[in-house]
Amino acid sequence: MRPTVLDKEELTSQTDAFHSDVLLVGNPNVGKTAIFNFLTGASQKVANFPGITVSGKKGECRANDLVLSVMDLPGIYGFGPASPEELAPRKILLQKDYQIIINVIDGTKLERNLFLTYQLAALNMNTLVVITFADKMEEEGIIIKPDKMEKLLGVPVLIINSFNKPDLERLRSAIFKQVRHPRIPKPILLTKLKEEQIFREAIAQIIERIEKADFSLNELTHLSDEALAYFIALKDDYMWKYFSSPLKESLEKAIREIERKYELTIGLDIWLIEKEYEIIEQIQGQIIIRKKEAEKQGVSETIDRVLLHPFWGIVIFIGVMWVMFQLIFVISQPGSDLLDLLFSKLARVVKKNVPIPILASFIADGLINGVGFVLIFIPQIALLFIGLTMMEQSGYLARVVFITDRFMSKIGLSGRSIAPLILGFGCNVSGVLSTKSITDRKERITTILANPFIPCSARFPVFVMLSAAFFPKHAGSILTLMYFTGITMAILVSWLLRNTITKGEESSLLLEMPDLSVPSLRTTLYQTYLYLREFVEHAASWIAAGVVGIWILSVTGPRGFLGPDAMSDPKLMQESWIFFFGKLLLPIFSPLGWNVELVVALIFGFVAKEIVISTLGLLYGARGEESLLVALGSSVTPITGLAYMFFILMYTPCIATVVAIKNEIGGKWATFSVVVSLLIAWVTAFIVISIGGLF
Amino acid sequence: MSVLAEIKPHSLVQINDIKSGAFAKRRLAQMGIRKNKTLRVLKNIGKGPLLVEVNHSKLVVGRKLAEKIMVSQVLTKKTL
Repeated sequence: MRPTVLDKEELTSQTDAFHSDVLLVGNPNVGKTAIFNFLTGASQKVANFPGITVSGKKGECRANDLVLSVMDLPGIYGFGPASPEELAPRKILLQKDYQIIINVIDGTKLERNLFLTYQLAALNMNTLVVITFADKMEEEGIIIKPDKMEKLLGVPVLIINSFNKPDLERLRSAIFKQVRHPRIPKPILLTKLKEEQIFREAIAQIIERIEKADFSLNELTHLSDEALAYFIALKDDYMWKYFSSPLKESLEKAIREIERKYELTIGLDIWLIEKEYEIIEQIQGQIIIRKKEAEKQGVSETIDRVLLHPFWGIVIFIGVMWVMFQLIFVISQPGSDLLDLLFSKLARVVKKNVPIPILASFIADGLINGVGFVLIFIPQIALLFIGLTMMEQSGYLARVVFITDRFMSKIGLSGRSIAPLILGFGCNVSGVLSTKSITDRKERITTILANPFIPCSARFPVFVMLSAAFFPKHAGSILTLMYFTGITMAILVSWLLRNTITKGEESSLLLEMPDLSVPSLRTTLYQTYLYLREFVEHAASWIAAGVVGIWILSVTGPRGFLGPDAMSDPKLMQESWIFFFGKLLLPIFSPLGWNVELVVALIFGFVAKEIVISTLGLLYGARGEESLLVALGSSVTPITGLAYMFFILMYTPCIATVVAIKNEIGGKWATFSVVVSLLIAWVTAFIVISIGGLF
Repeated sequence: MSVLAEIKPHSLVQINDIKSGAFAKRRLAQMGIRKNKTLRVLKNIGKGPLLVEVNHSKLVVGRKLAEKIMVSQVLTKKTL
């Protein structure tokens, strides 16, 4: 048994993602996050569960000399069916590596919330029940009797308003008190279920089969026989992952036999769920009084008439996205520019004052450039997360899902995917990061993989430049063609993926629509800080490494070290590794009719698309934009140029996007994205050349 | 008996049967949408998802799912 309260050193040594002292557990949208923010303050960080995209949050809660680690679990509705995303919370709850469960309940939706509470009671762990939204309960005329509930559940029940400081202080001391003096809930659910012949037989059958199979339950040994049988009969997906397949078959057979014997056509699991709701309905009358019956006509309902309107809802959504765009990509611009300026100044100062040229170049062109390239993303990403968190917290994101789902479902996605795709027009990194709100993993992967095809704002100047060079008279139409093709590709890729490798189980959109609420600034800023920190910790080093890598390949070559001049002298550049690779890759691109300059620019373009233009300028020895236009126009045919533009549109937008993909869904998918987009880019370019050849 | 997807807004219906796959069925049950339960259709424009109210909370139900939920009308309320 671990000590009840940990001191700081012990706490920091507990780095396992799945461990904590205090678990905040509840349905989504019950105000857990506000409680978590109060308890942990600035100590929080993202708790990434291996192999799962949804993450929890961890932090420390202090009172006097005592420190408790607190985890905010992703919201769950109960045990039973789970998408891969929902397995982590169950694993944590069932494995018992914690001191206390804080079960957070929305007082205005008691019936559904109690469903989880009763299941948690079956775990037989120290539990504290916290009912939130005291203010809303009063508005809606709901009175809950905490003393009655305490008697029924056997554990303390607190009613709080999660934005009221004294309430939260009360909660904090209650938690510390209860960690020292555990209170175990009464297993009401199991007791009531045991009155049923069906359940008693299920327990007997299930336990018998597990014992016969001589199966070691490892971390689950602490569960009582009834609880174990209950979670198995409920077909909790985490629980079922545990068993070897012969045992699984044997258990399934046992369940089927009981279903047949008692003519449970709905299935034992649904029967259990229905029974639980029956039990809840029976006791509800004792603990809750609803003064007015739910003829709600609040402000939320009035606003919703517009927000959920099939036409006006879409108009408002477009407006909201426009504001988001202004916020993320326009307001952040001065910040990014300033950082850019600072870093190039710093680089110049270093170059001037560091006597050894190679060292100066490494620091200036490699390190400072690399770090600067990451930092210019920070203002944008900070604003993205502020906007996104506010949309989610206010309940608006659920409305967006509702009104856009009918369009998105046509390409196999849901309304959750629309915002990330739209944000891709600004920046694909933002687009990829904003998929955090998509709970279905397969849908999330699809949205992420489709995102790079959306032409981001960094590709816009490249297209402007190249279309002016190759099609001086039709630059506008070509530019439009690029955007149209990019959007079509994103849609096509989504549709293809959803019908092949990321095909979902069955299309079943089912989500709660929370009441509209004013987002809390504190929560928004904490969330933004958390996401930003995660980006800097996990993505920044990779992106910077990529930039440094390109620097090394530019200043060295097969002959050895070339010196920093290789970055500004076209002749010397031809000796570099990059040029070497460009020549090596040339045969692949010769069917497209490209020269080595174009190929080299593409390699640099892997870091960021803006670099394509500056590299071409350098390689063509062009002074200024005008002379590059002339040089390109005279050395490359329009059709070749068009194929080149399509290639730029389709292949990996930038190294930061690749790293963001890796960070969100793993290196395997990041590689997949790079390889597939290169293939698509090549094939598209080849089709353009072939069609062009016909004329 | 009709399907939930065809029910006009502001109607109160009782669920008679759910014909979806096992996973969706369990998920619906967990969220409180189960046999004999009464729910109110708040929004249904004939395409896209439906908005329903059950147990004092609002749920967005995808159209495909709503097509598998068999219901019978309890009464129509024009007041909501």
